Amino acid sequence: MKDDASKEWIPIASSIDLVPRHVFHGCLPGQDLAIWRADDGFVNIWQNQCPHRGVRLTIGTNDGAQLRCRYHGWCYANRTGACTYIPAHPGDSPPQALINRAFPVIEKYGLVWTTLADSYSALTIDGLENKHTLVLRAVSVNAPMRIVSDQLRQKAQRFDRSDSKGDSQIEVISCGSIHIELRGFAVSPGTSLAFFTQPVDCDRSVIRGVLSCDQEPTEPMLLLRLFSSTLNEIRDQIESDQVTVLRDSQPTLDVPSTLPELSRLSDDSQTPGDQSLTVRVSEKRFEADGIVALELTSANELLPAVQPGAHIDLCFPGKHAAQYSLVNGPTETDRYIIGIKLEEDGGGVSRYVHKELQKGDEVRISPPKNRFPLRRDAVKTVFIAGGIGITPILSMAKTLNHVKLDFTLHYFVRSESHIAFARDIERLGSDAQLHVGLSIEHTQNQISKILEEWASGTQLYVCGPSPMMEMVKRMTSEKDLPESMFHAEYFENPNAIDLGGAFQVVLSRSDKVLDVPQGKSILQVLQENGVVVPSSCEQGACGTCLVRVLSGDPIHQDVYLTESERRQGNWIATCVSRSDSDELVLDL
Amino acid sequence: MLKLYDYELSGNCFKIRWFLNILGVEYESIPVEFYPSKEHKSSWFKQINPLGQLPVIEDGDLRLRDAQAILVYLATRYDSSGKWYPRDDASQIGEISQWLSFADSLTATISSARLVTTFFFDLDLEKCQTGGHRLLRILDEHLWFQERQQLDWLCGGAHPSLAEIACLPYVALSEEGGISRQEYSAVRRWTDRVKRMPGFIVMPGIFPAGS
Repeated sequence: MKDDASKEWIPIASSIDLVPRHVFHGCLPGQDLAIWRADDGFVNIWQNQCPHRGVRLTIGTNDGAQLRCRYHGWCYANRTGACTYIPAHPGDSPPQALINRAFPVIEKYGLVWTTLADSYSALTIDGLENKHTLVLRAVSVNAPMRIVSDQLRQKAQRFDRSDSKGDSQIEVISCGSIHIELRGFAVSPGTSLAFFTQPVDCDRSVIRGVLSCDQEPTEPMLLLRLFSSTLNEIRDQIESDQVTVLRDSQPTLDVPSTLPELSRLSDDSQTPGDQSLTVRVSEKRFEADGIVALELTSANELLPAVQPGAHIDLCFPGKHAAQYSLVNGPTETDRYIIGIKLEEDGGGVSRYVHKELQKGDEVRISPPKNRFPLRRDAVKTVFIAGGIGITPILSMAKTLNHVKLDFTLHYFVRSESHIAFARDIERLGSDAQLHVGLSIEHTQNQISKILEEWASGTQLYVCGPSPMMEMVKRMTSEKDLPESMFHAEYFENPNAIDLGGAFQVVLSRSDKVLDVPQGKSILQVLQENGVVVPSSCEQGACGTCLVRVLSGDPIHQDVYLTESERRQGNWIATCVSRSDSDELVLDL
Repeated sequence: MLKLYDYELSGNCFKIRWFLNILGVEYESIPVEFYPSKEHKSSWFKQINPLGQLPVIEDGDLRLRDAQAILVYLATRYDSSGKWYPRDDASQIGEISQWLSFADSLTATISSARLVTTFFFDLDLEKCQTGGHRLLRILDEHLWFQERQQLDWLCGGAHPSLAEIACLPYVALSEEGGISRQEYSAVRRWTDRVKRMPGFIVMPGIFPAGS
């Protein structure tokens, strides 16, 4: 029994069991399963246990793109099973390593199959290839799998319901302990019946039957009823024979703690500066003036989950990595979509993408990281996007649109020809408003009007050119709107960085004192001394290199921290910040 | 105003609260403490229902006991659409009555199992659970064949009926009585559909459906 259950593909549901927005409760020996189909058709087979507090996910909610736990509302994404939202921490991004355990899935012959094995091959059942198949009603039996399979074999002649009184011609072909095939039905010679016995636990099983014919059966309901009643009879007999259930020894199953590909992803996402994913450019298209869109797909088909607001690092040999926000909505799980604006004076990545990169090329990227998390507890959400800043905002708007939360998106562009991702924006309907070709003054008036409608419980997300972001930020503080409602993602730091003035940093945990001379950043000094601090933009925009400050008066210079965070002085961006005091004590 | 002698944790009281909500009928709830004080067996309540059972309603001069009887009364009296209990459709009424009686069997098995596990009643738990599984198997097979004919509900019509209201509560509470619905996949899909009907309410142990 152990061998059967751990090495073969086992059918655990019928395809028709997995209706939209439903969570099917599956069970294999020692493994309770939550099985759900996303709106894109993908079937997820997960451990039936929320990684948070262990509640069954089968009482959770399938919203078409994610499964939400009933208990604390943690959301897990279609395909990857990665946690994408934690309602109790609406302003934070869940750790990338927080992934539900998923099992392999194949949907074939009208059945959904999984395996608990580490390695597995393709699933092919000769008798069912290229046939018309009709999946019978699955029948649960309170008896161990081995007994059910034996009894099915012995009682096979019962399935011959031909009127002839002669001997039944049914031939029983055994194809392994969970699979039995019956051929030679007198009524229709091309017909055969395949049965699979799925173990549920040590004394329960499910008989799953598939009828295959050369031609589509003319009266399927009649056949379904006929075989259902035959199976019921066989079940009743098996169960009455089982008055004292012979308990099989409790099967022990070796189940990998995570799928190999998932464990690789979660580990790698912990490494700073990592470019562990190789993806292929499956689409490169002109999106708007100066903007191309790339669609990136993975050969192993499983891309780490995208949280709204997340970005990836795009890396080419000999060039600095550049960060691009993902435009993906919650239903777009099979590819990454990014928009890239041509920056003639940038680090060269955008130029390379625009001029050299071809459809079909391979590129190295980092797994998604999220420093612009989206709250989903706001009464209303207002998005302001300018130019290429639409990319993270669009991902957020698609998310709120999917879960039917109230939002308005304001998209400022220079001209009609600068509108990127127009089709996505059209799909948001009247929740998206375009502001085309406004002067600076008109833009300011428009933003002022947007902010005037501000009510308690509103959250504001802004992304666009730095002058526009500064404008919105200034206006929110002029209007005395709470700082906690303002969220912005900077692609760049518009301010000139002053690396003047020498000081010392004291690393309290490693008991080191380092000199930071004029012209060198704290980050550089740390790296030269072998202290690993992850970094990315190195201009005070992305927040990757934040370090806790224990004492001292930092001069911030970054655009990542909020005003109040700066005043508190608990964190600095080590790539740009300096010190007013002679020394800064850091929590390193 | 209509009065309902009510206990929050009773599935049979829940079905009345739920149907009143669907119909938009206002009512006054009079709590009767089933556990631990067994107020439903007290002498004051036995004057209202000599059987000592909940729920009971009072509507004007009418006093009515038995959850299924109350549902039939409410549908006939207050459902102007006539869809929950189509009086003029003989086969529908026949089918509905069959499931109202099935709901009583659910009370005798699943609800009894839950009385043992949650209210410490001295009953034969294994017998109640076995009986519950037998009914769920029958329900599951029926619903599976309904699905194959594109029928969403227990009875034949396009609209849900009193059969849904009468049968859902103790099916949905089965796990509190230690009766898993894991193997009844058609039943699980049906409970999702029923819970998505407009006017659905919840009670402890009965969750809302997925979105």
